Amino acid sequence: MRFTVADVARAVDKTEIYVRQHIQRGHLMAQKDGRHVHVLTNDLIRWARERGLSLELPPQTFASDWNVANRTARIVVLAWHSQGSKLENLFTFIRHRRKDMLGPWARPPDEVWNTEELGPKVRMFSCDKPLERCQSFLDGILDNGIIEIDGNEIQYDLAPVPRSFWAYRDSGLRSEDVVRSPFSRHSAKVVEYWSLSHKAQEEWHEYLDEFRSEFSRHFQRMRFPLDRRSERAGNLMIAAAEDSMTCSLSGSHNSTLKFHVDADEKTAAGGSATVWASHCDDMVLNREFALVPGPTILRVESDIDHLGFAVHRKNDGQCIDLVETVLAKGFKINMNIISGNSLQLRHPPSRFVHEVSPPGSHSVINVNVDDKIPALDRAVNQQWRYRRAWLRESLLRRERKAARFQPGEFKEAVRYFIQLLSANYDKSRPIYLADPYFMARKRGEQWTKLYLDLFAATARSHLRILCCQEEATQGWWSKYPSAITSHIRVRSFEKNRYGKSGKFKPAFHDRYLITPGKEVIITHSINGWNSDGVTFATIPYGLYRDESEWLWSLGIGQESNPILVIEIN
Amino acid sequence: MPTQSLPGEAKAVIWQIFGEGESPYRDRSTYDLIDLIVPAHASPANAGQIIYEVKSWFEESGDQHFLRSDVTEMVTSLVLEGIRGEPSERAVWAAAWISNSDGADRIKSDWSIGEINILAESTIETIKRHCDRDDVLDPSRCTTLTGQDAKNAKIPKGAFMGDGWLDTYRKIRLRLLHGLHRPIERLIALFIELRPEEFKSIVTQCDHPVIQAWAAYYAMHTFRLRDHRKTLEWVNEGACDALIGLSIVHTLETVKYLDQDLGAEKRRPTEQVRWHTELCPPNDDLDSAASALLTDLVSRLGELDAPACARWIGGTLNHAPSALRAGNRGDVLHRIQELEQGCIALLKRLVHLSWSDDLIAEFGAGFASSHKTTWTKHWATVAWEIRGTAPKRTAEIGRTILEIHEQHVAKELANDRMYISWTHGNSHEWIEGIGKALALSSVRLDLYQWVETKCQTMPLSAWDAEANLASFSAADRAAQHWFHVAFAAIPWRERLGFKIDPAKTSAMVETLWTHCQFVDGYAGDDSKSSVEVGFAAQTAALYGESSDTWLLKQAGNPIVHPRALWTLFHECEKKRERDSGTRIRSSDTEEVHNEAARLAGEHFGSGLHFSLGTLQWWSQLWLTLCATEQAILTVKAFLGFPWHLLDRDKKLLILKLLTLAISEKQYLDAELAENSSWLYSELWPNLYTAKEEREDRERIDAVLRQTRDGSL
Repeated sequence: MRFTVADVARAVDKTEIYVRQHIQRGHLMAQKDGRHVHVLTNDLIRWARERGLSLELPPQTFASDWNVANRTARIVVLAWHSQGSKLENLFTFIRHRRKDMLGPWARPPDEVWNTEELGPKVRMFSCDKPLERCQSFLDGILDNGIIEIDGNEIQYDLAPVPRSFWAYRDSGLRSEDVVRSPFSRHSAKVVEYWSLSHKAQEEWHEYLDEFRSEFSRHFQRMRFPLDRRSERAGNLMIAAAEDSMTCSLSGSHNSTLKFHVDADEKTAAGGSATVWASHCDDMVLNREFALVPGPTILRVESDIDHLGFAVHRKNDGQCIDLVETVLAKGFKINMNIISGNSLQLRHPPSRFVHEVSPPGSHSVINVNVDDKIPALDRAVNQQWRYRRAWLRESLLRRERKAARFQPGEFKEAVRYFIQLLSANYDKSRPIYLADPYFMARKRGEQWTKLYLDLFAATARSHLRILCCQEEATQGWWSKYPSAITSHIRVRSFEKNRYGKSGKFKPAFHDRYLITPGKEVIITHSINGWNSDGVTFATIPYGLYRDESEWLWSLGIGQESNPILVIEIN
Repeated sequence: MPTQSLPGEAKAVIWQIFGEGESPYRDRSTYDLIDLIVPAHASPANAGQIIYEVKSWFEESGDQHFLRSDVTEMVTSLVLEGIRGEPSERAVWAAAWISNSDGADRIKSDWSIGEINILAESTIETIKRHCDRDDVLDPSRCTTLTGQDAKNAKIPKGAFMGDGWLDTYRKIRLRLLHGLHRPIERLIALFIELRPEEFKSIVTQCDHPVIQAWAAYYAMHTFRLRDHRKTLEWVNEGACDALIGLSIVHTLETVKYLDQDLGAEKRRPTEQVRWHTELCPPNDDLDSAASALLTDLVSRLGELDAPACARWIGGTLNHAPSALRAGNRGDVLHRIQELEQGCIALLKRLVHLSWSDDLIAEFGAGFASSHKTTWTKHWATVAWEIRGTAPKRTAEIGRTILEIHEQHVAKELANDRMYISWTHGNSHEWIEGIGKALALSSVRLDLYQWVETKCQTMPLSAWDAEANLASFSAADRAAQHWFHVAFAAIPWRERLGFKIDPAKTSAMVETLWTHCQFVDGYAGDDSKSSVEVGFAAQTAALYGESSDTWLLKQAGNPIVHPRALWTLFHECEKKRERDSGTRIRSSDTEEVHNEAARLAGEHFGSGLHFSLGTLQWWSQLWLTLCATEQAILTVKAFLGFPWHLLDRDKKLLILKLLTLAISEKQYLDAELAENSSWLYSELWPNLYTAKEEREDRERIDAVLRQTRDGSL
């Protein structure tokens, strides 16, 4: 590996001037290539040792764990014209693996660049090279920030120190943010050089919004979802398949799992595996064992809906492969035959003719992997689903994102509602409560308490109530003390009845509460909470906030407006 | 008679009411039209009386009115009188109305030839006019639309046009033959009744395949009973494509009917059979007549110019299997063979006398109309048969077939698929044909190199599997297919006198297994157990280096699927039996089998991790090798599966494995013994045994008899 002066300075924690002086004085051997100066790894180590300098080498891009001569790489460079006519690196991905893992028909890499236009601005260059010939390609990028491919100059803006991490090949159980292995049969060790240019990323975001669907196919082929990981735009990533051994886990109908290791005995002896399986979150298998080439059969005594395995290196405990998956117990396929015979439909009075292809036959296929699940497992599954629904509901309530109240849980519902209102600390901004039937006041002690609590909880702010009242009437709250009602303004909104039908039509239907910090949809009008129950759910879209502010901004009593607004006092 | 109360001018109006009412393009009923048509054609003084009188001929049912049966004959007479010599479209629809009754007979007996000609010409013109407007199909008869929806809809002919005439007629016969507006159907029938010899003018003048198909269908009812060879006349050099297509369709149908009659003759007394043609046994030989029809159809096609001839032969061969499908399956196969022989002979003649580069393409265009690609086998046969007389042409045809087949495969791969249906009975024959073409294509041919070149150009690397799994899987299917073709070429190369190198053949087989092992890592578990893998093993046994050492090497190789192992040992066993003439195994063979069972048993292990499908192949292998310990392990693995997943074949296999164990004096534990008794009684609860299981049961019973107490 070759280091620039800046790399060396960083590695020994000295200034670049210090390093240059040592090169000039001949203490540190350096290679010159035109204006560029490089130091080789061995020379750097020797020099640091002689001078007693602490040395921290950057992560190795092509780590010595692998026999470079036996590996082959596929390089994909996505370049784009972000500004003007210059080509900039959008993403460069180098994957490498053992040559013998390519399959029986693979030919030696031809090292020829293929170019493909992916859109008006994006071009993809790809090439297969022996890994040993990739170093110079990479050095060119890191040293000069530029690379030439078939006469095209592509510019890079990379941070000099890369990050290194493992990318595992699990199938979606873990966070979406985790980079998964680009190799389907192996996990990978990844070295990534980041581009910290925000401008390019912003431009890419905008561009991607427009062409996302066109690119996803290419990203799939490239094995990196740059459309979903757009923060990595501009980066250079090197992924090395950890293919010293190949592990797989498969299940069978007869309650057995087969863990298969494809490796020589020496390699396998250096690792251990843990296989786990669970059903309805209950761990039914968790076994650690030494790796041996060939199949290892594991018996399980239960139904399984989730399984996985991890392989660790014995010498340093590093996890080098990880797979976790949820098993599908059944699925449904809907099949539509797109069109039957085409028909020309005529509309007799206007002689209008339109040719259509009505849908043909439709069928549904239910595929059950095992439709004879033991009764116990089915019952456990049902219990678990019930428990999971309950857990989700209680989690949402704890996080104050949603709360459901059954009929008869009126007091609890009111308490929750008042808490929502009381939690508003920004008294300068109004609270909107939309309830078409607000004016249909319920009588009785518990309702009176509710209204009083509502008014009191909002007393120092502005409570704006939106309702739909057919007849103009006086506000029923006027009999309450003005200390808790003076901040209330109620307006009725109806679709202008001077239109075609002349009938009353409410201008809105949904019930919601908007506080400065929250937007909460309410499933029932207040007067139905006791009999039908109610659910409060916080939504993040600002949809009702905009609607309520717009409704409130409409002029009062203007019959020419499409919505007639009446102030109720 | 009610007519006596009608004024004379009324008689001239009646046909107009019924003609207009019969037209499929009018929304109003005949009854409703009375009020509209009578005032327009009768004097105001008489109109009221005529309307009253005509309406009285109808009876009411719900909101509809029907003509009373007692006045039908009188109205028919009035209509017949009215349309006599009348060339209008309304008269044509009126004629369609009277064809409901005995109108055709009365026209033939009462009208002059000139009057009949006027009606016939008007009929053709009317049908042609509506064909040109593409408005002859009744949506209520072709779709599920009813009422006003059906009236508002129209089905254009492009909606059901197939690939070529024969495909179109096949589709029409299946779905749309009765899709015409009923009055049009009746008009065609009337026309053919009046002018049977002019049936061809409907086909040539009316450009609508349903009209053509219906006309031919109706005409054939008449023709077939008079002259079963009538359809052959329709094929001649000047005939239009529609007529030739209809001739092929109906000639093949006549052959089918003759075969049905032949079957009926064997089953019932001749006087009880309703014959489909004018021929009736014992005076006529139906079998010879059917054969002669096929031969003469091919001869007739041979009169066309060479490209058209090749195209129609292709179409006929494609269409024949479905067209000839009748009750008697054996006869169908026999007829298809007859037809193929005739067609091949004709193609050979074309190659010798009228060869052109387009000939094969024309044949393919006719055959491949329904996207089938199996037609190349016929040309492979042609090439093989002319190899002695025209060796250069043979190689050229062989290469052309390969090129065309490569194009077919490339087209499939471009869509990320490679579909070969093994359920289609002709697939083996087809691939054998391509193998034949490969064998003939070149003198200097290295099959290993050929298949290697093919595989290297396909997306079959790990990079490709990760980039596009569908494309990779399709390429895998194609690679196995090319291996299959190469293996299929070996026997033909041998027959051509080329020496087959056993080492190279074995190496090729091993390469396929390595390929399958690699593919299974990415695309699932099916590749290793494919039909091609079995075929490779068979080839290895027959043409490869099937020494004991090589066989044992394969048995110990974990990448070789049990299907391949079983085929290998099974074929070697058959070969040994053929060579030695005895089924008794020598001690050397037994030793090899025991060692093979031990080696294979090592990677079989307990067998618990294998799928049911794979266990079946293992079972076959243990039965061939007489491996009793492994047989018991396999039974235990089978019994680990839910019982409902074990079908009859698998249960029989389990029983065979247990029988093998018992016959080799292997001890069965109580659970296995109980299971085996239970299996036996479930498979054969009584003395009845299906024909295909008789041999197995006898063998099992023989082992049972040898045991002391007679039970397993």
